[in-house]
Amino acid sequence: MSSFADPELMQDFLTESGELLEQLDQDLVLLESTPNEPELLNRVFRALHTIKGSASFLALANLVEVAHAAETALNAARNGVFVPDRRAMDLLLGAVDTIKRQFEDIRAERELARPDAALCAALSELGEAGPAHESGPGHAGSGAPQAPAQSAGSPSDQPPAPIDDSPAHAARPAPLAEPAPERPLELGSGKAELFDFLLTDARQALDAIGPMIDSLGRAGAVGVPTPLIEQAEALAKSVEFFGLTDMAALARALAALEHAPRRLTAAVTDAAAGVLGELRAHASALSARRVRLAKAEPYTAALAAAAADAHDSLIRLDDPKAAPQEPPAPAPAGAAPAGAAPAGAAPAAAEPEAAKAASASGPTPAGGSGDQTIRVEVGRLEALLNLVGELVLQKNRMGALTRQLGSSSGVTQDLRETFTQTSGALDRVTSDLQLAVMKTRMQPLEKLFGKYPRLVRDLARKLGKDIRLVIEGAQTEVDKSVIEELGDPLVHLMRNACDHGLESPERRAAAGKPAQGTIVLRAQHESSYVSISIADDGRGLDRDRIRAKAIEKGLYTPEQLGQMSDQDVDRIIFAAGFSTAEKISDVSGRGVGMDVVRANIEQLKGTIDLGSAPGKGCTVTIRIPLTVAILSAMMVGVRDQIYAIPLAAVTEIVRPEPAQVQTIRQRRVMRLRDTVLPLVDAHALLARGGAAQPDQGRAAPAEAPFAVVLQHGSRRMGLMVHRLVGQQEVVIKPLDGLGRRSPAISGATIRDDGGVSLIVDPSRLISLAEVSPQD
Amino acid sequence: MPQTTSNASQTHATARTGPESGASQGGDQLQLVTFGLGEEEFAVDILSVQEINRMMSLTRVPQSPPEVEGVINLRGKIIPVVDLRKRFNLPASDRSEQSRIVVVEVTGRVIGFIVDRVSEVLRISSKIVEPAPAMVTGADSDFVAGVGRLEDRLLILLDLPKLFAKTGLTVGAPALAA
Repeated sequence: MSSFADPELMQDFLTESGELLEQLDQDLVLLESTPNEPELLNRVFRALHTIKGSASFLALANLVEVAHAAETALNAARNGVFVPDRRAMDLLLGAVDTIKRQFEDIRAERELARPDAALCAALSELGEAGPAHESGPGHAGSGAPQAPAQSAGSPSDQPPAPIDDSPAHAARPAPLAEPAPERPLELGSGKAELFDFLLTDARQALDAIGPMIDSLGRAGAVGVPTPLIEQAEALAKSVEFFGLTDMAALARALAALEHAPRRLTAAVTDAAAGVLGELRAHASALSARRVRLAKAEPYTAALAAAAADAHDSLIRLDDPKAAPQEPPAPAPAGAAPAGAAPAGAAPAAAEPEAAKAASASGPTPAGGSGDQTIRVEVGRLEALLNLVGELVLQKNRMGALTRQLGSSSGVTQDLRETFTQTSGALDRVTSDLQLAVMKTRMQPLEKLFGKYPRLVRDLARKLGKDIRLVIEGAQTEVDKSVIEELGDPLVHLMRNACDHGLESPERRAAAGKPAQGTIVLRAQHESSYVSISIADDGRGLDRDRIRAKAIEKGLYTPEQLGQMSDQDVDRIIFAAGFSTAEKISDVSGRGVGMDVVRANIEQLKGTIDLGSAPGKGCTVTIRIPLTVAILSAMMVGVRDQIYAIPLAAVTEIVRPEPAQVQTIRQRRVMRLRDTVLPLVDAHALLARGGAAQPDQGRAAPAEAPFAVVLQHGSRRMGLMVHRLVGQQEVVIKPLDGLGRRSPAISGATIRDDGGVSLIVDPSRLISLAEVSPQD
Repeated sequence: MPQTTSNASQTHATARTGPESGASQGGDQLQLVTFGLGEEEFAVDILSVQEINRMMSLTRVPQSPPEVEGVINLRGKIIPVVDLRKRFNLPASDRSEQSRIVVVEVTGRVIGFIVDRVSEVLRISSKIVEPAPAMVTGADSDFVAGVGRLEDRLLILLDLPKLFAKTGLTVGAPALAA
């Protein structure tokens, strides 16, 4: 068991089952609040079942054990034996957590942790509570899957491993058209351990399928129920794993009914019933550790014909399910190999995919939709994005050349126009390409948000609070790198809202609020930005305490605080090392909180803002660019240098008249409409604190005439620059290896003329200007 | 091994002055790129040199170390450029037609430095290289790997990693004191 299967298979398993696990987390929490939702229950069951199936394929016995126990419990819930309550949910979530830990083990290439026996026992008990199945759950409950089936025997004589013998495997049913002999069951040692699970599974599946097949023949029955298809398919996969190809063929024949017409003829229903009977016979032979060597061609052929009727017109090249299913399982010898090969040759690749499709698409058959996605290594997308970045730079240079050409006299009018047109076309194509490539990297925020229902649920229980989480706009898409960077800050903010934001139910009641607190997590697009807000209806920020703490920590003097607006006081929580939590809980409050959040967000070129109303609640709003690689910038000239300012921070550009400019306490300010705007010289600000930068023999130019109005949150300032160059899409380049530089420089970029421009960080620029008065 | 840096770089040097090409490590031969600063002549191992460019306009970075003259765009990559005169505490001089930016790879990083002129590619025997006299290897001069004694002049061989370790060209941005 310690030596893992093909690492690639394992990776696929981790990826696909990992997604299912995350979905499970979400669905289970949802199930807790809506326990009577059969569709949801089914979805949870299917997800677990798929994970278990893939795990047993990879012989991960410890994982299968816990998944099986959870599945047993869920099956009982599906049969209405019990209604999932909190305790049941704790157990089920516990099982999911166990599987998650085992995933970590796989990633670390460790032996899988054994599941907690008590957990498995409790889950199995849930499953046994009702009349679900006589023997099945018992096996799982007893925990150890050691069932020593038939001693593993010599592998030489009988069934070769089913995984790697595609042609033989597909062709085998034909020559075996004999009455129904049986032979002893032989299993590899790894599989013997799992055999009990198979038996339970098969029985469950057949018990579930039975009534459905009965109802097929009834008057008024329309179509084949999806669960039947799913069950049959799942059964086919598990028996195939054990090398029981005949049985798998039977089950697949049933699954092929998916493509049958809505009205079934009597012949078809009879055949289906026949196949079911045959499967049952197989199953009982298995219980006796015998393999029934039989095939049921008459039945399966009838089924196949029925399916093919309707199916012919449905086959689509892009439908991965079409290939394995089209020649219904034990196809008449000869026709099979081509069609059946994929199922045998690449079971790991095909099966989890198919299983995923089945579980993801829920009640609608997955057949019609087809598989329109492929998985691409992130590295390739990154390379593509880099190349596009270079292309954008070249395009910009081309634009600059075109403008030059327009003003030069040595070119004919014709050439000039052609050039301008070509350059314009290149511009459009490049922009489209850039957008298209960026879109390939976009992912819905749901990837992040999906984790929060579980987080909030657990926190609520730990804190003894009643919290409702409302998520809006989870479909909003942002760049992959943004999603990755956003994870930690958002978790932190969610924890804050749960721990500090919302009051205990008693306090809420005393304040005349509903006992249940609400957190609204909302995401939406705003031009090239996405804004994410986390709003709670709790107590809001306690400004008095923030002031007291700020003085205590020596961050501000009482005089400074006296001059601050309420909003500025709120923002103090973003200062380093600031935390008002009175006691350190294990939920939040280690004092490294909000400043780290702010730093993370600003690293993404985003902004974070706060709105708080005492007693009513607090809203934290994050705005981040959709992508972190390309930036819309305003290029400005400061003396002989050109800097790039992120356009998002620029609200306007004005040319102050001397009469508008005043000096207040040694700071220059201008009156801009109804507000007073501090003015800071860009060159002095950037050079401050650093070594004097000689101006390369040039006399200091005249005073900068333009004020670029920068806004960050509620803070504003006018940055005085000499020239306005224009707006450009720039590609952000790292500026490493300099040792030291102004903190207000966040990176560099290459201009359309090939020169290098530094990108300034507006928020730090504003902070820098506020720290000490202008010299 | 000779005292010069042996930072092997796959990129070939584009110095046009040297007629011959090939490995510099052949036996006791050293293949060097030599350049001048003021009256002095310096040399670095040819394998660490990526290319030699004419002067181009530099973008100054506020508050960077004093010897960092600025950054340039090297085919889409932004690299820092050091003024070697400032690094050696030589008096500043105007750039001329002869001024060059020598681009080298040092311990995995690409750095450019400005020199007054690039002279030639030279093949010398390691036998004529002597350790730098103790007098000149002060606290701030251990970047001198050795001195090559030619017929009519002296060649100062530079140890590039040591040369740039001292300039503080390290990765990482300073944090903002909020």
